[in-house]
Amino acid sequence: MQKQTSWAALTVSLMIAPVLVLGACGDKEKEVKSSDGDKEIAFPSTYSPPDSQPTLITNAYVLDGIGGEFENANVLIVDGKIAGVGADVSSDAEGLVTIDAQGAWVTPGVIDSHSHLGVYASPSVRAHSDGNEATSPNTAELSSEHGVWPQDPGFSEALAGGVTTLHVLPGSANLFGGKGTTLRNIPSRTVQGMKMPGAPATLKMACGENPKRVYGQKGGPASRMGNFAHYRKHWIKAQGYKKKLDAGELKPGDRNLQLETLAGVLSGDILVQMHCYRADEMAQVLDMAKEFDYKVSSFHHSVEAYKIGDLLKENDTCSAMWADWWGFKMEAYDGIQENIPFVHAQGACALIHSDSGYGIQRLNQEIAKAYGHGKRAGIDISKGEAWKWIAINPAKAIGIDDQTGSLETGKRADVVIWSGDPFSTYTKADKVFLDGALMYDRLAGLKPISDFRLGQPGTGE
Amino acid sequence: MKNLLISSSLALAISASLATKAFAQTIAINGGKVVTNSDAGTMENTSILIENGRVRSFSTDETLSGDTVIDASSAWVTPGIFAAVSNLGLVEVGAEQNSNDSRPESDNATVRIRVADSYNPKTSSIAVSRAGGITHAAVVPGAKNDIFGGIGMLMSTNGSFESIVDEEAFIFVDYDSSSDSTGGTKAAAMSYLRSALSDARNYSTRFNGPDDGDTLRRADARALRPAIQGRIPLVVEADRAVDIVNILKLRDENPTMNILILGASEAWMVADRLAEAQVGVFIDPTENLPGSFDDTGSKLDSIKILHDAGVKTAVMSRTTTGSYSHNLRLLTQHAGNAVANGLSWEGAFTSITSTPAEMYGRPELGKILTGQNANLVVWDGDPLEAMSAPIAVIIDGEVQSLKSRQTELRDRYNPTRSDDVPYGYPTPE
Repeated sequence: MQKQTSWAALTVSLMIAPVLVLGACGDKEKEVKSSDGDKEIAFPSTYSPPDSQPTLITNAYVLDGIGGEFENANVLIVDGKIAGVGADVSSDAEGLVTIDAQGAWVTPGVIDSHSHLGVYASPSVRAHSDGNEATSPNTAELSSEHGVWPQDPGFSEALAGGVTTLHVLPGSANLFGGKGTTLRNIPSRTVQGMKMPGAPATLKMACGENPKRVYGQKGGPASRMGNFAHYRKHWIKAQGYKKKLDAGELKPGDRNLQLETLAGVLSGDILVQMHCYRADEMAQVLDMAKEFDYKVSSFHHSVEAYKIGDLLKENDTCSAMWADWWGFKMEAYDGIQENIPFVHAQGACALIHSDSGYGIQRLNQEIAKAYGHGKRAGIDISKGEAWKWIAINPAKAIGIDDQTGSLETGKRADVVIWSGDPFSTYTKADKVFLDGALMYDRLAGLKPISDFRLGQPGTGE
Repeated sequence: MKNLLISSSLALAISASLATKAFAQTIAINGGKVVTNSDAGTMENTSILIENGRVRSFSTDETLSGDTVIDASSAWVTPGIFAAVSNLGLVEVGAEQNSNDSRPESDNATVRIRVADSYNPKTSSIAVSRAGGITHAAVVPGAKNDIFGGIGMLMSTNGSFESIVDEEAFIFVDYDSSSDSTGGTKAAAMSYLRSALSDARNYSTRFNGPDDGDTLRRADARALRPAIQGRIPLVVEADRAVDIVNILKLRDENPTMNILILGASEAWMVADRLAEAQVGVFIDPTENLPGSFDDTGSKLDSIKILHDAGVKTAVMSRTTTGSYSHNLRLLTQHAGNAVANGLSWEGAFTSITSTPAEMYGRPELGKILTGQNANLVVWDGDPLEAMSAPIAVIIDGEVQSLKSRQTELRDRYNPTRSDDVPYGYPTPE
């Protein structure tokens, strides 16, 4: 009876074999050199920041995303970048747009490090089930970008919730699910037009119940033991591949996308995003990472992260969590509402994530709940500090903290003006800027409508 | 954070009330903002005296004494939350089939199945829901291969074996999923449903043996009779606007029936018809995505449109994993989002308290009324705010425990904990 909203958590049983493979469309794939000059990137980003005007937001209550909280502050945006935050910040730029926030709260744009928008698009008909290639426990060769449908109506609703950047992951059916894709939340005809330039590649991996359930009757793994044996088998192969790759010994035609992805993890270029609920399992994953000398950038879901905050801190591994989901399966049985603040209080990198087309629309409320429960349990931190859970910490977890996630000078001007305190249920995003361009204005009725919504009876709001 | 100074006798009162029905006592709740959902309205700085389990009196600007005293001076006091749609007591761990009775796995279930026979008052999500302010819930029997899920019940969250309030409170029909289960089309489902209602209406003349029905067996036709007679509601899950229109036609053919629509994503399109037919809806006010081609019209102000048209609306939650069982406590946040999208605070709050109670024929639940059993929650702030939480829950006049597995885990792993009990050992009482 309930609507399926948690794809990674629950829908791995949806395994629909592709019945038709249509021919490739006419676009020529271009291979371009990345900035470091030695690596070819397929399907390159064509994102370009929308036109923006120099903008000064005055009289704002600012949470800067890195822990700071400023009353009566101004936020200056020039050339799509943050040019300053503070009471004395001003500008005489030509064509300056001044917005009097009248005391409203202003924050960096919300970042969701765990979304399946596009790969499990609305409506959730069978044809839109593109998030789990549940045909083999290792599908490290695939990338979520090839499953994203840019016309998912969920993108626009997420924008109305202040989300400016999102990381779209494959689901959790497989031990190695494939690459994730970091998207700018902008209307686009193509996925490439949303891809965030300079965002590092990521690899989705999964622990625990889902892989062993999916493959238990299909050749394994059928147990947590099998999960780990499979991981290690593939890491050993990847070590061999990397050695050849580094030595230039790969012959033409020997390129193996699956091993290339794993080798990219071993060389530190690809950031591991690991779906894992239980504390004991996360601890073993961290040891496996030591065995093969790679790093887990972030655990996802990590319902028991509060039990091992010290280990997470020690390993510099982030933990992406829900505010209060629990009990939908055994490995989620020990969920508590204080998970995020407890991980934070132990000095580890804590962050909110949605894993849901609904949760992503109000991540501010999700952190508000966690913040309130933390306070009641004695974790006394400021709202500015808690805003890291939705700003700089998710940016760090997916490796884009040099570009966004805070209102520091020089960063992309991803900015939200809220109708009130964003820790309130009643508050909504009033204005959302991407790279300094106003993309959503609630009161003015400025909001993208996907192709799918056209001619339908509802447009969300 | 609001202060709650509970007198030292409260701890004793809690343990006493859990052990025995310690009724010959008084509870004083002093000085809160009291929302009654009744003609008494909302009152500031008001104290409530509870005596022998019942609300005895309200008094303004007065500090009362009692066997148990709760200082609510900067708190809110409201009726307990009534969950209009839930699986409480049916699910311990969702994905573990052996601990999940929310819907049958086989196709043998029909109208006569009583969800009360699956209900476990010791399910851990009941204590968690109670600590989230839920005091009462309707428990819906899910359907699988038959469009009838069976007979639903009403319960309180006090966790006792006596917590069922009404064992046979409504019949549930899953019309949304009907195309999968009953012949593959809506037409087949409607034909089945119409025929089943006919079997129930003609129960006394049609059946000489158990298989004499057009559609239902005798025991199922008998179970459906109270619904056809309007003695209990027929709760029909339907989202597409035209499905709702057709169900209203079915009601016209069976005018004694009391139909409630569960889901109702596109109900706003037919709000006037629902109002005229006096058919109420259970709706999730956060739904705005087209989940399927049954609800491409979902939108955030649906509940406001329905409410303004005079349709009885109750808030349900179905956009979050586990929201029928483990996360029923999100109802307050959902109602708050209805306010954020235009509904009045009172409209939203009654949608999770008195309105669903009335829809299920229990109008005294969901209100704070003198002379009635005390079912109320003391909150540390506006209950619809994300940062608020209950500080005391009273069901049938008894102060409830707010402990759960989750609070025990919280206390074990709290980083501010300073005792030196070794890991894995309980803290001495």
